[in-house]
Amino acid sequence: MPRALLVGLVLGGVGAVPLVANNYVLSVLISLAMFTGLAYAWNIISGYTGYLSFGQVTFFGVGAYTAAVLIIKLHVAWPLASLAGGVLAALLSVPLGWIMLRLRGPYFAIGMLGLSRIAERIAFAWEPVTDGGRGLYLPAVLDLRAVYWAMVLVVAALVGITSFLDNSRFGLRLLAIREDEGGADNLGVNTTLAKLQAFVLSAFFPGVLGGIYAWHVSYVDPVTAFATQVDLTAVVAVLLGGAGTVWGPLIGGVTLSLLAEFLWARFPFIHTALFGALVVATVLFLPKGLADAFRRRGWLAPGRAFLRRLAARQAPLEAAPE
Amino acid sequence: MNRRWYALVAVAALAALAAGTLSPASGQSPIVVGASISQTGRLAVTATYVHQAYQLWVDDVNAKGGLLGRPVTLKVYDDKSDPGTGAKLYEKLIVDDKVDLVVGPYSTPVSAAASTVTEKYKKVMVAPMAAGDALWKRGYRYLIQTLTPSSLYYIGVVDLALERGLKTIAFISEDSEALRVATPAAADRAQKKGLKVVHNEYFPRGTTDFSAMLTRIKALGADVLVCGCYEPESILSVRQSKELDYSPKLLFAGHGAAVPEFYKGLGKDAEFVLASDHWDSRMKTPGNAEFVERFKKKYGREPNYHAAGTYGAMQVFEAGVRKAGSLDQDKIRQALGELDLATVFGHYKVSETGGQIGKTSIIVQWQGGKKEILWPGETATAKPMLPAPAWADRR
Amino acid sequence: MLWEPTLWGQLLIHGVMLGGLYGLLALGLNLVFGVMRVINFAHGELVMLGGFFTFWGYTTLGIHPLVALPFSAAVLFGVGWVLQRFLMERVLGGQPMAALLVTFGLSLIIINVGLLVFGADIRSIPVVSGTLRVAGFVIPKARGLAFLTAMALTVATVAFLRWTALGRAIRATAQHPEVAITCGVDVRRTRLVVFGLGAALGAAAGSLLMLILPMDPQSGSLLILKAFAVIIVGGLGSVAGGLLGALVLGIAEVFGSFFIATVFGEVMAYVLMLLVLLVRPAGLLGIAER
Repeated sequence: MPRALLVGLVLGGVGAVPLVANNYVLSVLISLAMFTGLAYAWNIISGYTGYLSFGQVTFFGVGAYTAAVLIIKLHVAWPLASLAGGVLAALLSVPLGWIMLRLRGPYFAIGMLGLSRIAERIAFAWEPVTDGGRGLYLPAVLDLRAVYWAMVLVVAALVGITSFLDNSRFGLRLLAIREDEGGADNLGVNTTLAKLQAFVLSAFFPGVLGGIYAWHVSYVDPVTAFATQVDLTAVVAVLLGGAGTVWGPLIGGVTLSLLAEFLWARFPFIHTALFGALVVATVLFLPKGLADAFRRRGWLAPGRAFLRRLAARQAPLEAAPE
Repeated sequence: MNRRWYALVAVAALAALAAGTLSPASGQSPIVVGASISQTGRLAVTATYVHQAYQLWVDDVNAKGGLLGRPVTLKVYDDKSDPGTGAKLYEKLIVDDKVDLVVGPYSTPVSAAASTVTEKYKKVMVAPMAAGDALWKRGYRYLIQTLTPSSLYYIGVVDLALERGLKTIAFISEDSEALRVATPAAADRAQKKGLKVVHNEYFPRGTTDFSAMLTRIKALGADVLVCGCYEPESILSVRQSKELDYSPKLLFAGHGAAVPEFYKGLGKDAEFVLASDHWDSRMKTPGNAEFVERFKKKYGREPNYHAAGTYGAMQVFEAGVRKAGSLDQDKIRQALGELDLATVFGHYKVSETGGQIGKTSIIVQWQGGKKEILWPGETATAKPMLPAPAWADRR
Repeated sequence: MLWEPTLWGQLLIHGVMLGGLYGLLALGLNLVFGVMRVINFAHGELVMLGGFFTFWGYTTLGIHPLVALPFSAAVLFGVGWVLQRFLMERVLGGQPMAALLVTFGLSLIIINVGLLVFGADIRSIPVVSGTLRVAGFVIPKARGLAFLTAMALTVATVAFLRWTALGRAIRATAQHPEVAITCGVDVRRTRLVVFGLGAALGAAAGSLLMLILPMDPQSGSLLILKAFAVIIVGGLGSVAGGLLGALVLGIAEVFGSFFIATVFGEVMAYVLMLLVLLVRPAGLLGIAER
């Protein structure tokens, strides 16, 4: 089946869900889409580039607050406000990335974590804008379908971008950084630029998602906007699905969200422990994620298909010069 | 071929999982009350008391023959103290589990998110533990407050301080919705009545060290220390006051100081500390003594205000449903708007917006290991033991 | 008022007291990271468990917390040993973040179990309260005790690592596992001991924290982030650096809280952490990594 038609059918099917699903199902799917989106964003900086970040929620929170302030104080429409959230997050990520990307490995991870804690405190302290610990109250949302479509749109965009990334030179550069940054540098890859580009990409989308989230829940406060749990859940989702792949975050995000929801609904008093057990099991038994397991079974094609095909092409022989 | 088959199986498995999760419960003849408790997250302290109170109410109602002739059952989920989860939870209760009645979550932020959902479906939500005045300024129709509005939380302390001729007052409060209303209201009153406010600061939740704040307040020599806080910070503020040898003549440690765990955690150091409470087991509200007894017998410990507030709210809800004579939400809303009654928790009466206007807060003081009510005067059980003796003078 | 030396001196004391608390927290974390390059996200929960064990000893058996402390440490040593043996060994040498995520999952399990077993109520032990008045300054007793314990345990740990055979084996395992094996060190057993020790130190911290802070099963997750900041500032893997880093952070937090605002006091820890990461990633006393 031609690619475009398949994509169109899937998008159509996903988009049609609100017509048959009730609001509870939509809430779950909205949450699912959000975490999948966050997983994709994390996948770019961490899965592909190898810079494992535990602070992407910083940009999520920035997006949430930006959108909230725009909606409340300037009466901006929420889709625009969310985009603005993403833009501001992206702008912030340039200087922040410039600073933070000097760090490697666990230092980068914990550094980003520290950044998210600082962001939370700034949200507490900057009362005139954020109203401190009181939080911001947004107008109520009556139609969940629009929220759902917005989230799905973001996720679709992310899948597309990741797919493009996977098959592009840019993606190769990121992978080179992940595997051996020093070597990549020596080979003339502008690692600083590539890292920064990846970082900005993985900051923009959480910003947008944060804006939509703020609109959806109608309430933003420092603790929920910058919660470390959000980061860690996204990380687990990518790990479950398979980091550095196109379909990993989707598989992981969907599976994890559904499992978490199932546990929460059926086991109200031990769902946290069961989720923890799930995390442990994932790390122990599926270290490379489901995508890798699927690939080895032949259910999924290996990544970077375009580049592989390119590499497999026979180079035309040229006639020797006379 | 093989690949597609496996793909189908995987999709089917996921779909089954989704269906199992998202499928609605089957219909039933008992009346189902849906509620959320904060089993995890920052409000977890409250969860057990709240859950027990719900259960006790359900048992009591069923012992009386049920509601509208039908037995009552309870359906609870964990809102994780998180507004987002709270919103989803009420979608599930209303749309999926199709409960008949919904009761609110603990705390203003979670109630804010949850009430947006209940308002959408025009389902009356009695909010037992939501105090933020902002909730009732949004023009919602179906939200009912049974708790004292936060603006009234601390004003009793100001009156008590004035009675004793104390001159200076310092405020340190946790940065959260209810206290952002309670503290300014009290500070305002203090200033209007001639008390000098020497310090007014907010700290983020989870602060583990008050030494900097208290050093400054001690240097300023404030007569009254008002700590707007809940359990952890209540204990910490008293403990660190002692450590810094700062002996305010009146030490008030918010709602957190009104629970038994406060005294257990501090021992003798808790003596003379004032607290704000929503309720006391000795209050002469109707059925209070019996409620305390039943709770103690069933759960092995005395209820606190979380439990009493929850139970009282359910009594209100019950009265509303009985008065309406049906489960029609608009009829119930009307009934609740008209009711003027006393529950174990205290007086209940709401304004047009659903905000509470009948209930007041009480100020208590730990004296000899027990809480004595100091304010309002009509309900007082003992005289204030003020000024509190200095730390150095206590044995 | 702001420029009185007595005030500054008092604030310094408070900062040192707070530093002692943080130092205790970070001790076990640092040891484990130094040897096994594992960031134990569940360390806060181990601290909490140690604290609750002591609390249980106090309320049920009437044992003074300082007496219960060694028992609590012993029990948590066993817990750490078991965790390393059945869980952590399996993620060794895998993905860098594997250990962190496994311990994250573990922390969730422990928290939930803790909530079910102990309930969510705040607990504290009302002994060793009050303060010492010395030369016009006040020194809080419980926090002072925590500081002294932090110092004692740090010194003991450093001495242990430097001068005992087992300590040398641990350092060898940390620096070069392969070479250590050829020298006859039972590397696996060493790792079990180290994780157990890390948990035991955490239990000591928890037992003392019960006297200072009100705790509930979820307290661990609030404290762990501070502990991370401490070990980064002090230098990942350096036990002595951990205490130094803790003192620096404690003093910065108190001064920041006083001269700016309390909300910024807490930020100081993370700002310092970032500064250290950017300027001198090895931290104050850490081994400079490539």
